[in-house]
Amino acid sequence: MAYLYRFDVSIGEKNVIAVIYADDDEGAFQHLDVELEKFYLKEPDVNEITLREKKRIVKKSGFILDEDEKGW
Amino acid sequence: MAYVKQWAENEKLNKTEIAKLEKDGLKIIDDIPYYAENGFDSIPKEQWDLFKWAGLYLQRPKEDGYFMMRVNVPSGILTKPQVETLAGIAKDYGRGVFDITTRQAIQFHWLEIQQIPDIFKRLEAVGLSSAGACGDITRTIVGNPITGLDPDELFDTSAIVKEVYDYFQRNEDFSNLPRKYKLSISTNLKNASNAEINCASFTPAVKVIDGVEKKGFHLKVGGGLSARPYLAQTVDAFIDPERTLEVAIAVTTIFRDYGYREKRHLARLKFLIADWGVEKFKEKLEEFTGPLPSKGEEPVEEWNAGYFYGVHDQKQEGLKFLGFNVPVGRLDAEEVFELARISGKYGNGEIRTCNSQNLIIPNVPAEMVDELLAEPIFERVTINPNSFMGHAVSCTGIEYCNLALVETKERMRHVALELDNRIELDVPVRMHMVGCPNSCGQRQIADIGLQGMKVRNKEKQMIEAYEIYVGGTLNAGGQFNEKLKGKIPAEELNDVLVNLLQYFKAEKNAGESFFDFVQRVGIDTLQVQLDSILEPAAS
Repeated sequence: MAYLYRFDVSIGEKNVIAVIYADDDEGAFQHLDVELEKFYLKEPDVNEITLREKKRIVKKSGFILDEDEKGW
Repeated sequence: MAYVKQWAENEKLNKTEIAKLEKDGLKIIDDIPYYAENGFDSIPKEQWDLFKWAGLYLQRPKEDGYFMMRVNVPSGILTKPQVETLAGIAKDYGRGVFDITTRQAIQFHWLEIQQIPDIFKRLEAVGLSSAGACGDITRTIVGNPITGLDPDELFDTSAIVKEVYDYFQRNEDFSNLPRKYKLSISTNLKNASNAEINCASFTPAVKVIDGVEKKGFHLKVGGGLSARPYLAQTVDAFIDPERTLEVAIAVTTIFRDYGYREKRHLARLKFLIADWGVEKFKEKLEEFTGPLPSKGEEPVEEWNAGYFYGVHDQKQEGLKFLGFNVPVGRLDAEEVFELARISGKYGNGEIRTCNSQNLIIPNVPAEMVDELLAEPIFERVTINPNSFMGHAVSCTGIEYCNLALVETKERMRHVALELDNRIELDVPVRMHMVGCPNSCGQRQIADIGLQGMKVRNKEKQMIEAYEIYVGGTLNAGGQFNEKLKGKIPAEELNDVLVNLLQYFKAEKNAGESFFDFVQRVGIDTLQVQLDSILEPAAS
């Protein structure tokens, strides 16, 4: 069973929302590191990563990313 | 009685709906003997979801083949043979785990497919069933756990709950609803059934008709929590108790035939009510029932959140009912056997379950109360629990749930233990802990809600953390709690809560409830307070 994970990533002074596909929580955190390294030219100064929610991956799954209406 | 599935031709139906048209959920019950005979691997994956209609969910990880089973307990009323049967199932098949849910049902874990036929047989022999305990169907009916005993209820609802439950049980006319469907029926004046968070609720009402005061129900519709919570609204109608089943059928038929089936996340009755409004809903209802009298008065008292701790007079002279705390709703099978023995010895063998995940032993003669309370089991399952332990609720959490991010049941128990050791208040504070945003532990209506998440810090240490929500209630129609900013590491949770509650204790008026306090001082003040509590930890 795979899941879609929603993270809050605190980088320097800003917060980024990240969505990761993985089989388990630990794998999701590990792959988030990979994606962060791939995305930013310079290795980001990550203060904190928060796993907020996970959803089962069926044929369709997703999250809405809205700064003002985060749904929690 | 066959009916026409009016939605069948809709080309936009979601896939679950299409599957439900191909095979009614209740039909899985006929297939279970085959799967039991041939093992878990014989169950096609696409059939897994249908097991819900039999009251069965796969535990995490699903591939391991262990089931959770939920057993319906309408109005929370259990006889001695029923209690013993449930204890036997937990002992023989469920590793001894016996959970009372927030809708008065009983849940087992660790069941395997080959055990299910025998479990069904045992349940049926004592008039119990898990059919419809999960799935898109009428679930167990929540009711007043002290109905028939309650000196303060408007009238006894036990026969009404039974009539409505029996009608919908395994009724294929109503086993293909758009989504889960939760009913409550109670005339307890303290809203013990949490009416506002059910899809449809029958609540106590009186109305003078032709010069005579009639006792009956009001109807509230469209409530429900989960990630998008709604509070049920009152329909402008007065319902004669004799027409309860007729109205329940009408409400359920409207949901079945007009409820939304294209988008599963918008399919609960609450979304139809949010769109229609209760006026339009009443018009549709009256197409089924004919004109209904307008609503009367609601003789309600302060909400008791389903708590009944202590020794109380029954309406029957000389008899008492005793309300006990079950820490976070979990008992061991041996404890359940012992409770059945005690209830048989001192009472009439009945045990009642509460939606506060607690239990009641009724019908105890006043002169036998002291002897009963001297039984050793009541050192843990206590009649006068410490305040926090006595008002702590939690979802299942990461132990069994696929979507939970953190541990909840044991953590909530430890938090409550610690708070009881460190702080004493003149009012109870209801705390609910949940492990994800879906809120199975009813986080939104708690005085203090705790929602879990996983956090990895700069040093790459992984911790569990919680956010705090304050000020939920179901008094006066209800209000959901609001979030305070700030993540609390699990290991600091006790200290932070103690500090926050010490502030409450210092600033509150005598007898002021936590909800009233939050209303009086405001969220901003509490946020400032929480920030100052968190500051030393952050620096």
